[in-house]
Amino acid sequence: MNLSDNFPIEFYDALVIGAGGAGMRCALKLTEQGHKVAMVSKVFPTRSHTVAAQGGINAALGNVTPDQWQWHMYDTIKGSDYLGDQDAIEFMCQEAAEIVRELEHFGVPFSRLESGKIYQRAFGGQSQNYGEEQAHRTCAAADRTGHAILHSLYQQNIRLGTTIYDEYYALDLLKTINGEIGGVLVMNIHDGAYKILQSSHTLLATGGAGQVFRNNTNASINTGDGLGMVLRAGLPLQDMEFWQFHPTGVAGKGMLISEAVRGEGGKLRNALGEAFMEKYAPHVKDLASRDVVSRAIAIEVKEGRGCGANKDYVLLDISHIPEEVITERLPGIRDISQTFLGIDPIKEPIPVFPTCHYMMGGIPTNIQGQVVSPDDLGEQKVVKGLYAIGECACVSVHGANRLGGNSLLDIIVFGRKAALTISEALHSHKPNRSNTDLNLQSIRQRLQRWQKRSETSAETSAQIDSVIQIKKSLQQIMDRGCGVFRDHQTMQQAFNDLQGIQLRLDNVCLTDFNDVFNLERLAGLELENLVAIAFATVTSALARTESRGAHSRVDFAERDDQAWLKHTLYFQEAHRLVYKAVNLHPKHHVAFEPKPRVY
Amino acid sequence: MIELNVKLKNLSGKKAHLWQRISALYLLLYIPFLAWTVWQQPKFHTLYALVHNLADPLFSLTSLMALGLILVHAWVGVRDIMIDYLPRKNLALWLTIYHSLLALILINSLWLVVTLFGSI
Amino acid sequence: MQFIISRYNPQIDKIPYDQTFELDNTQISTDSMLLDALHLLREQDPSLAYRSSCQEGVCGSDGMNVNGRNRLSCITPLSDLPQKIVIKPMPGLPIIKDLIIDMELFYQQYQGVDPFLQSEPLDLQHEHLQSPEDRAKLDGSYECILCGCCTTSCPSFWWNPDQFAGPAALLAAHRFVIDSRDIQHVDRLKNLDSPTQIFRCRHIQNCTDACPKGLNPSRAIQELKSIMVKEI
Repeated sequence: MNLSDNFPIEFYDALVIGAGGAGMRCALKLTEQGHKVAMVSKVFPTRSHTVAAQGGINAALGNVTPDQWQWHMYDTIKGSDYLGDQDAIEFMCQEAAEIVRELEHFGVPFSRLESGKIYQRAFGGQSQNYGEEQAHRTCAAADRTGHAILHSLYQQNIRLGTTIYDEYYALDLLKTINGEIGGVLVMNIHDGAYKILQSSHTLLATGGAGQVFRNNTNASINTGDGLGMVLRAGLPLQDMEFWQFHPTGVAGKGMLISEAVRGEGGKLRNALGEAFMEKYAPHVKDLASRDVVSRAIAIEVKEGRGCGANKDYVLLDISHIPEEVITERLPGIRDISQTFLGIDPIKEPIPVFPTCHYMMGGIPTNIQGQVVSPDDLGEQKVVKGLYAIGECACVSVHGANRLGGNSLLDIIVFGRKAALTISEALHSHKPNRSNTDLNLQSIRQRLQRWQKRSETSAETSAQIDSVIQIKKSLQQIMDRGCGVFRDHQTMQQAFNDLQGIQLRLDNVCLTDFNDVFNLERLAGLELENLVAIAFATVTSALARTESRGAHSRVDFAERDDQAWLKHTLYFQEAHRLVYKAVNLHPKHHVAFEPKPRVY
Repeated sequence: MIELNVKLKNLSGKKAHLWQRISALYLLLYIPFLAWTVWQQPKFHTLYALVHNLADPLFSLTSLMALGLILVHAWVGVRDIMIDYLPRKNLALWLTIYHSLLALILINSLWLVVTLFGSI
Repeated sequence: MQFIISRYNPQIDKIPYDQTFELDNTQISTDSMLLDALHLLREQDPSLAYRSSCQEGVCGSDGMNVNGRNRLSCITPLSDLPQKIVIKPMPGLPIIKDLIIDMELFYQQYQGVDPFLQSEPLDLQHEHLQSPEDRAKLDGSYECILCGCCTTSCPSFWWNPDQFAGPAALLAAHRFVIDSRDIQHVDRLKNLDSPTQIFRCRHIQNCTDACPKGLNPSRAIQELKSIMVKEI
């Protein structure tokens, strides 16, 4: 396709970019409200990474132990190491019960209790009565909750006939002359053709970016495309230093072994056979919040009590759990262990080590799902026409560390909320379906750059570097520089190395010139996003001279509320950082003052 | 009278499935019964004597039913194969021809029975 | 190890052809999966096209035909395969490029069985009650990942892909027929009653043999048939 041509344009009331749990919940509501919606996804919807979520979704239903949304709110705030915005957390926890029942009506095959109600399991960091006994709050469909939710949402979207552009890749946000977001440019992966989808309401639900790390539980599609788009549009990313390392990834490989395993009674043991979490979290032991458990494992291994020939992992032991519980509640975990390790967890413990799992940071939004950005005076202003939800967004309900089971909740709560926000706006202002001028200059430049490279490399054919190699280097740099434990020196080194990566990315040549399923070009476009996100992470992390939640610094081991009880905002231009206050003003509950965090 | 003109949309899946199973089950019981009956017959030297001996009501009734159900079984089985593998364009025509063929066999068989047993 | 991979680029090739790749055995570890090998081959030739995403067998992207059998490459250990591996796209649907097929028809057939719960009106105060026994009936049906391994190995589907829903879609139909919360039970059964729908299944068992998640679509279809005979 000739890039100087005019791109074909289609008009929609609203665009949803991404068809994971968040995107599909949002599109479902918008379609139900009668709006003309297009959902764009670079993969077929049920391939989205929500499908891999295992353990469950939190809601204070109280089906197993007494529960209240206020206790859930407290646990989430404590889990976030007090960096979460309390108004947003309050809203999410209040909505949770309704959200789960709604999912159940959509067809999610939740596991059941004898009473016929939804089964709820214990998960890390959850308590009754503000920090007392363990709560059972995580609603589960065996250990395939994400799969069950994603498929049910896709099925409901079939019911309503939502328009889905699957295997279309969203390249960049397009701005109107007034600087509002007016749509996106997408590429059909099937034939490489570009198209403008124009709408005065564009919602990003593009998910996480775990691919910046080598050891991760994420799918290869998790390249943070929405985040890259936002950065290139001159907007900030929030709290990008906070990455959750899941304590129990399959050692050396990264596949997720759900927290549900410990929820059902699994124990972590070191080489001496000690259930070592008793040392680190005497009260709740293996069900401490994830950052705590990950650090404990890393310390055990660092101090030489790791297992295996290289002493580089610990063991997750469930051999004491009755076999029927494992086959009924944890069939997927057993399957993964058998497939990837040749181990039957009923008989043998599973080797595990922390692995990158979730991005707490993302595109800053308010509770309504609208993207916000500070103006020149530092005041937070809504970015017109742009919304973000799910892992790519930072509301922030997870703060410095997310609780297990809160991610599925986040995507559904804010998926529905953002849809209502957009729907309201559409009802008060008739959508504009006429052609408004959109600024295409920068996107044309970006596309031309990749096109031109293809031609250059065809001429010289001397290939020295490749997109794949650069991605590998990037992941290594991030693993070394921004892992479970961080310090100034390694992060500074990572920052310097990233500049080398940027240089290589600017000069890399493609070898594939075809338009049909050109996955090399796609990987190149994705890599641009990953590199941008890596810079955001390292820059934000270097500046935060404290340890909070998942951001754990050897050189600044303590939390410093005086200086750092605030959100980081990162702008791509000159790697600029600004800060914004944490919301400590919930609407219905008294605020929770920061306290030392012990489990 | 049997509707000879077959229309695709009128074909049932469940009914056919059920009849196929009923007929299969019947034939499963009938065939050993047939073998047993023939085995029990004394030696005959004329067709007339054989037919005469077989013309008791139990045997003739069960045999007539078996004949009908064989035709039903064949109808469903071959019909399904035709639906599966014949070009759809002329499928209805082919099914009608097949249907007519079975009807012809039925009439023919009835004629045979009447001729044979009528003469007793 | 030798890989013979079916290649096809619609912008260049008239028909698919086989290309042979070699991987040094030192590049492969004992626990490598086929997908790991394909990633290495893609480093040799970045134009090699196949779908993949989660890399742990839950997203269903990377179905392909390996030595004659439909499998997910990410959960197929190389150690289970011979030194010579023949990889083709899954059969029965149009090839877009290399190992990537056009699954549109497969999805249409899935959508055609109304694969969504139709229950009592929404009540936000209470979930539907369902006994653990009723819930257990869904095990073996709801876990389907729509990878298409079963349907593209089904001869009945190869022959009439536009009419016959195929095992994946019928497994989904089964999942809703037996869900105690669904209220369209009878209508669902009536819609399936046609010689071109579930009764086109001849229980050849290719689907069950191919399913990478160990599900049994053939048995589910058999069950649907007997429910239908009993209830409508």
